[in-house]
Order: sequence, then structure tokens, then C-alpha cells
Amino acid sequence: MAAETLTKAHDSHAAVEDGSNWGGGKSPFNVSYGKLMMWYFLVSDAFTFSALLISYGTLRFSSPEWADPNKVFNAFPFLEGWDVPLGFVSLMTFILILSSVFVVRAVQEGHRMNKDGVLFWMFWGIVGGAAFLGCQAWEWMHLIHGGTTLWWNPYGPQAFGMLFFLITGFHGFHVFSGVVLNIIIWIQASQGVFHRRGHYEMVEKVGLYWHFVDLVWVFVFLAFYLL
Amino acid sequence: MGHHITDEQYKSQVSAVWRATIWLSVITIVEVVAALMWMNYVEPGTSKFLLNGFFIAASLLKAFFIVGEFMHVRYEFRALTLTILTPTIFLIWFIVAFLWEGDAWKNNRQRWDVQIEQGWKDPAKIEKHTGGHGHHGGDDHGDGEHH
Repeated sequence: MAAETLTKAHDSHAAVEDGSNWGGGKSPFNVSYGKLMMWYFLVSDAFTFSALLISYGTLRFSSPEWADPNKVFNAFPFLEGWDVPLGFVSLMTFILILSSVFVVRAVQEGHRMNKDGVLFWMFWGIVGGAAFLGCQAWEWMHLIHGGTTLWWNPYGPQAFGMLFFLITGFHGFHVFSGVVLNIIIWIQASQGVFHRRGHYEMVEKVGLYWHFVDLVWVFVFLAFYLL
Repeated sequence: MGHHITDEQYKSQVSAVWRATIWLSVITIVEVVAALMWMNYVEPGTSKFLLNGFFIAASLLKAFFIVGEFMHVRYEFRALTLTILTPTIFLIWFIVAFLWEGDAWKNNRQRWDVQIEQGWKDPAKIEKHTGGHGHHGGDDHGDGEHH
């Protein structure tokens, strides 16, 4: 595996260095237009999320005290009254990572033109995304019942509630649209659209978006639950 | 159709993905265990500088696995990798500038709180601090008198 990767990397670097890819007539990045544009969208979206998380950091730094995540996020469904700091959010993180992995597997099966494989793994990717959304709904409900609103919360400075709901909400909205896109892809794949087209690149493009959602969660998890 | 990928490439890519999955899971578990152990065994009030440094490094490592392996950047042309990753360099300044600003804001706020507190006890004192700026000090002054 290592040898293959090396050869491929070597080839691509050589191609960039001697400029042969930049003479026109072929993609200098070796990707299609659609995939490149998905990447540029994700770069811009990364800056949107960065701005949100950095404003969270700024407000947090400006405040003499802050909510302790181990005390805010210590509830677990069906274990009422238990003190499980970070337990539920760890489960959510794991669900989202696995969902991302399932979609990578769908992309790989797409490279082999294996329609059943794509459908199988994409299905589990969708299930993972939906499970994550369910978990988030439960966590929101739990906090709201505990008195956390946009304007007030029992854990610390006023801004905590607003920032939490705004940022996890914006991420959750991305998860939701990702699940919708994955479902559309699943339906199209099941109807043989991509098979007739001769490639499963749509699975890759939507997959990129789905992994990006997972990537953002790494930093939301860092900012709200760990630091 | 056959041109897409060979069986061997397929096998090595699948195992690379599962390896990255294991890495991501292990890092997450270590992060959570570190947070819990800190909560239970470290005296409250101890500086979390090292712990937070570890969390940030671990998160960046997770980002590396997600972007490199899942998003396939490790296998792309270098030109594409650069065009995606170099803009994020701006984030370094974005983070430094804004956290710095937040910290300065906190210092200002604490200084004002102290002065306002003193003002409640001794209305004459706050006039000295605020001088001719009037508005802020004046309000506090008035409140103090009514109290």
C-alpha cells in the first residue's frame, strides 16, 4: 500500500513541478469542476464556523467566569438523576465518526461500481446522521427543561445559552441538510442513475460535505465540551 | 468501468479507513478520560493550560485524520491540497486577535466593576476616577446617592 501511495504521490508532484498540468486542456488539480467547487464551498463554510467559534472564544475570554461543561453536560437518556459528565456527548461524537466512516465506505464501493455496496453503506451513514440529530434534540430538550434559554441559563454568563444553541444549532442544521442530501443520493443510486452515468462521483461530493460536518463537530466538541 | 480501481488498491484503502477510524475513536476516548480524571483528581483552580493544550493538539490530530483520510486530501495533487489548506493560515491571526481583544475586554470590565463598587460606598471617589467623561460615572454616582 505504501509503495503505491508513494508512486502516486511522486507522479502527481512531478506533474505539478514540471508544469505539464498547467498548459490547459486538463484539470491542473486532477479533480472535476463539481468536486473543486464543493471544496471551495467547504473552505468558505469553514470560515463561517471559525467566525462563530471565535466569537464564542472572544465572549468567553471577556467573561471572568464560564459554565463548567462537566456540570452542564452530565445527563444521559434513561438514566435520570445519574451524574454522567460528558457521557452522552461522547456517544454522539462516536455516532458521527462512525456515520462518516460508513459514507467513506460508500464512496469506496462507488469506485468499484458496486451499487449494492453503495446502498448498504450509505444507508448506515444516513441512520448514523439521523441518530445524531435525535441525540441533539434530546440534549436541547434536556437543557431547555433545565431552564437554559437564549437569554438566560443556570450555569454561568448569559451569553452561554445563546452561543450554545446558535452554534450547535447551526452545526445541527448542517447535519440535517447532510442527511437530506445523503437520502437523495441513496434514492438516485438505488434507481441506477450513477450506474448509467458510469461513475459514482456524486457520492464523493456529498461525502465531502458529510465529512466536513464531522470535522466541524471535532471543534464544536473541543470548544463547548472539553476546554 | 474497470479503470476505476484495482482490487489491491481497494483493499489497502479500506484498511486505511478502518485504521483512521480506530485512531479517531482512541483519541476521543483519551480526551474524555483526561477531562474526567482532571475533574476528579486535580485540585480545582489549578491552571488548565497543559490540559487545554493537549485537547487542542488532539483535536488537530483528529482533523488531520478526517481531512487527510476521509476527505481523501492525502491522495490529491499537491496544488489542490495547497489551495484548500493555505487560506486557513489566516485563522491563526483571527484567533489571536480576537482572544486578545476578549481578554482586554475582561480586564476593562473588572476595573470598571471595582470602581463602580467603590463608587457605591464613596460617591466622591468615582468622580475622581472618571473625571470629565461624565456619562458613566454620573449614572453610577446618581444611583449611589439614591441608595
